[in-house]
Amino acid sequence: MEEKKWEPLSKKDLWKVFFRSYWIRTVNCPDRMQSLGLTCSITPVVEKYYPTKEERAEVMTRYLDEYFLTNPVMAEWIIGIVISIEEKIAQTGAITRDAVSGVKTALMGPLAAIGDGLYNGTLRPVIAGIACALALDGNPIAPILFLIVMAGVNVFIRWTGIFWGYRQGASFFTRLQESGMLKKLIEAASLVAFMVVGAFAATNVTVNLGISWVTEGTETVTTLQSVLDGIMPKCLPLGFTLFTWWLIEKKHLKPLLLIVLYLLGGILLYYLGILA
Amino acid sequence: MLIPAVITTLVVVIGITDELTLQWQTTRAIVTGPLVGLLLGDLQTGLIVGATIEMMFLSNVIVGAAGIPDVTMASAIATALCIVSDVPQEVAITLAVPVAIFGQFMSTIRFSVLGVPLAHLADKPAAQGDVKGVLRTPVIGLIVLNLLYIVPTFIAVYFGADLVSAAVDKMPTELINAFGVGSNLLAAVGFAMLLTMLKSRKLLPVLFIGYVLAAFLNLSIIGTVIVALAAAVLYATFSKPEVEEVS
Repeated sequence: MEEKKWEPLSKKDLWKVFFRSYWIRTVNCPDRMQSLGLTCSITPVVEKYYPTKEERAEVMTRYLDEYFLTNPVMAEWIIGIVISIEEKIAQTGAITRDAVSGVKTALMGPLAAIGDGLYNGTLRPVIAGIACALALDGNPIAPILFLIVMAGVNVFIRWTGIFWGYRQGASFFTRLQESGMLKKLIEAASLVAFMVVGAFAATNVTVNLGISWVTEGTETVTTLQSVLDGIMPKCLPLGFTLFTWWLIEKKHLKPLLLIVLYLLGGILLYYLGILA
Repeated sequence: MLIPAVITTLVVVIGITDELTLQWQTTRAIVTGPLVGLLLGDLQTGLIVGATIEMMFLSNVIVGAAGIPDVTMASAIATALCIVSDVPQEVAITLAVPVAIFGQFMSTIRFSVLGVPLAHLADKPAAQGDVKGVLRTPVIGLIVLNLLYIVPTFIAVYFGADLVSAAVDKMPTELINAFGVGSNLLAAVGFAMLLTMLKSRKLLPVLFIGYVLAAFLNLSIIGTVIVALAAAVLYATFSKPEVEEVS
């Protein structure tokens, strides 16, 4: 019966997949991670091609049982490809669902790395940092700017994932990777982030030394801080930030531990007169 | 303190719901701080407390299953207490740290204790071919997981406000200054975390260009970003194409 009814997924179906794919990481659990979200995302396809409860049960259980974990924003790239394969399975019946599992396993790692590195790891902190600089000046535009950029990029990536991913299948991603474009994008993003962090460290970290002395025979008080500022302004905040980086990366100290240590250390050094 | 507690809880609900679905980043302190501030009638405090907490946790990224410090509850509660109990900003920012740690503990519970039974609620409808039943599962999950955050946020603001303001009244000014010095150091952690995320280490010298622009030339952050974007475009145009595995 279904063979006669087969037709390609419509725009409306794709939009349904788009909206349901927002469930991707609502309920994560250690044994399956985002498999429930993925199952919800493909339900429009299930509803379209499989009228009987038995068929639906088979497809949904398969998706539900398979471990799936990637970056939630990039997940749509996999979902787009998965529904294009599902469409072919429904059309010809010649392909098995192992093809779906293959695509999922092959792409979820690299896409997680790109999404975590670029979207969460670079774009968000850079935009948030800019917004913070504006907010500290009392500019109420700051959070709005941050939200517009983040939501815009989020919707764009998800939309392209479903619509382009569905149309071009896995080939788009492979081509992007082979052309070296992705690597250039990551490097260009790193360049922006490095420059911005250099500026942030100078302006937003405050390390002021409280040490001062009186020159003999005169009444002038010289502070160590003013001497340092004369040579290299804001060198302590920069050095301190780079030192923290070294502690996290090379000494594997947890950021949260550092936050507590710095807070207590700052209070202690203030009372000792070393920091002001 | 009922109304501030309700407002703060509402902002946390928006943030957590967004984190679990849309991911438009209303979870972040730079949004929750100003939003709580706006609703409680002190936008300026919200902007400053939110921005300071945001910088502390600038780059905490969920990698795999590990729990991360919670910024949503921490920034919403800190901002609310700062405004409602008239706490100095330095103290409010310091208060965010224990809340963030508590939130990290809670996210571990959310994932490993609640995640399993909630996710497996879908097993039965899936086995019966019930699409609507499967789609209902994340809705139930969303409600339950939100409750996990609603209760502590409400309690913290409702009961915490008087406690905190009483404690701050007894606090010597010296100690408040000391909190300020300590919290000024915290942004370094956020920036250092961002550096650990950047994998193109050969571009590290650019960091010093950014530093010189800000420290020596006093260029504003917008100016620095324009320079950085121009440099990035030039870099992408003139660097030779390399084919390498991205992962």
